[in-house]
Amino acid sequence: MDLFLTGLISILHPKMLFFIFGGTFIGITLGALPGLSATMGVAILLPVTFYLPPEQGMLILLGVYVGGIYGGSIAAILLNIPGCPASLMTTLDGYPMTKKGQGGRAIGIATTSSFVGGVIGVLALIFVAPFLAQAALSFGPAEYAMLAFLGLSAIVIVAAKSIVKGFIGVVIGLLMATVGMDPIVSVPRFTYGSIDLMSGISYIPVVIGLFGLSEVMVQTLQMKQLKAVRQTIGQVFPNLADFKKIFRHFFHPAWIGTLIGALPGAGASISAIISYNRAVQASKKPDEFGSGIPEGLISCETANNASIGGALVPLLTLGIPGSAVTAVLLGALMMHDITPGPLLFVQQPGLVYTIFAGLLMANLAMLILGLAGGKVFPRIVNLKQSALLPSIIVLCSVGAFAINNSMFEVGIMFVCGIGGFFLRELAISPGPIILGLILGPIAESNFRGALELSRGSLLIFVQKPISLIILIVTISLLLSPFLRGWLLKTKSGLSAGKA
Amino acid sequence: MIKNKEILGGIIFFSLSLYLFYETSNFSSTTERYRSLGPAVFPYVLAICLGLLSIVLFIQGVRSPKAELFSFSMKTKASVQVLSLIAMLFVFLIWVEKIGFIIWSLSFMFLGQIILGERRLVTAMVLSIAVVGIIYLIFGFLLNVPLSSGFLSY
Repeated sequence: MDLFLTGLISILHPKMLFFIFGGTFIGITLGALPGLSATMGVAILLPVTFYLPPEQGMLILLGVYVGGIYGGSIAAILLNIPGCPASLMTTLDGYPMTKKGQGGRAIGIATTSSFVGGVIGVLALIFVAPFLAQAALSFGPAEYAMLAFLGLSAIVIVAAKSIVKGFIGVVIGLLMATVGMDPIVSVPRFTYGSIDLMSGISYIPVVIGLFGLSEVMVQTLQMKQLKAVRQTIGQVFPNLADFKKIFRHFFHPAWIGTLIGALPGAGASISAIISYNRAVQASKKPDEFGSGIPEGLISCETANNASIGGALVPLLTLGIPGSAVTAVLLGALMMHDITPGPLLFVQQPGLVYTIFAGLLMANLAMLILGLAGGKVFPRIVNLKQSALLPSIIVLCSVGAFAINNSMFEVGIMFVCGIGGFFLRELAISPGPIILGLILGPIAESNFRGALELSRGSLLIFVQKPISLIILIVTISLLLSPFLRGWLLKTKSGLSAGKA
Repeated sequence: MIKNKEILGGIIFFSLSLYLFYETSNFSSTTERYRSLGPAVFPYVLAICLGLLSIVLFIQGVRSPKAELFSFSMKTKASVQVLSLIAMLFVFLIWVEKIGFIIWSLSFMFLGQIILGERRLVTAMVLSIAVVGIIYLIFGFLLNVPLSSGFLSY
């Protein structure tokens, strides 16, 4: 409790508040623009945070993350276009409300629900994370290697449309991580005599290239000026009846969001879908969902923001990011020589609790900015893409340069941007590549470390109970799509037989 | 016959895995005694995985119907815009140290907007100055990143 209060006091400094509110504002802006996601926002702001102390840098990125997930709802409500994948379900009831002339009301409900969900997610993080970290303190190389493989498998299942393509992405990332000096015997690998490559491929320009430059290329191909938001927004601040609705319906979406967010590989989009479906099934009037009712909006907006706190549980306690955006956040921490995991809670509790308090404050910033700027943010979607896209390219280039003041990093960003574009064409998403690149050294050094301990015997991974459990979870996760397909086939076969 | 992107991808990744397999065999022999856990083991395993995955991708491609290799046509205006932006970025990145960050980013922003269809030159210029000003303020002044001034420094 003392640590949390210390963290809370530290974030009340005007400078810290400026970073939180600034990050949240940028997040909402990027989230509101269709095509630009929270992940891209976090990726292109990474270099900015490189020059700041870790606490301040993380507060900006957490603000972007929270704001980005919420901001997607603005375009979803007003234009029927999800600003980011997490707000896909928001279109179902948000846009019909706009058509009824209740756009402002929908934004108000979405903002308040996002705040409630976000706060519950953070509270879950604050109470669960320290215990999980405590339990994970006994982990050795075998457990860490298995955890890294679990994280890689999880992102393959969720982020990729095809398991094969997801694994190709992971292998590409892992191969990129092998460039440079070998972590154990210091032998150069794939360096081709280049001094720049000796220290390996920095993941920041790769992140900027894959999520920034390649995304701009995709957006340029799909570029069309969105129809301007001209409809009357109306009152944004929820009335008493809407507040009552939110507090009557927030509970289930909040725990679903937190739980789903905490599962490696799942995230805001999946939690919103599951929560919305549960709300439909539990409702006495399921037919009304999709016609523009607040309950639909509350179910998905509470869940997608609650998933943020949940997603940070495996990231901070085990060092395993479950999604592309948390993979970038992991990169941000490692950029400051901070390795997330159980030891973080022992070695740097101040930073951990500043992150907790900062996340709470970012949710408050989102509520204040969302309600106060409820009539201004919708105009963001009128921003000209012809100005926005070149601005992002300039920002990506300068950001990549700023990491080491080196054009080599800009070159890596450029190559990864173009490579990422063609990989997207092959339906290989950037998330698994980034996770492979970031988790590669952790997976390799722990895997080899464990084998050194066991004198080369792979049995070490099944002889240790926790390692065995993680291995079973990983295998189950990998088999889950096949099992689901088999179950569906069996079910449809049985129904056909009955008919 | 390359009839879809899965077949193309399968061929590219299989070739890459063969190259990586060859390359890892050239790692320093001074660590031969560590061979079982040596520096080549992980890349070796990854190269094999990539090879196997590319074969699966290739087979999936053979079984799939014929399809366009790319989701976009090279003849559309949008693809010409993307190519122009990337070519301009490449050329500008080669020159950036000579011409300096300010000239580079201003020119890129201005020409980028024109390429993407902005017809009002004054608007494009004003936006370029505003965006570059903000980026220079953040990186150059607040974060002290030594952005090259190019010939403006003389």
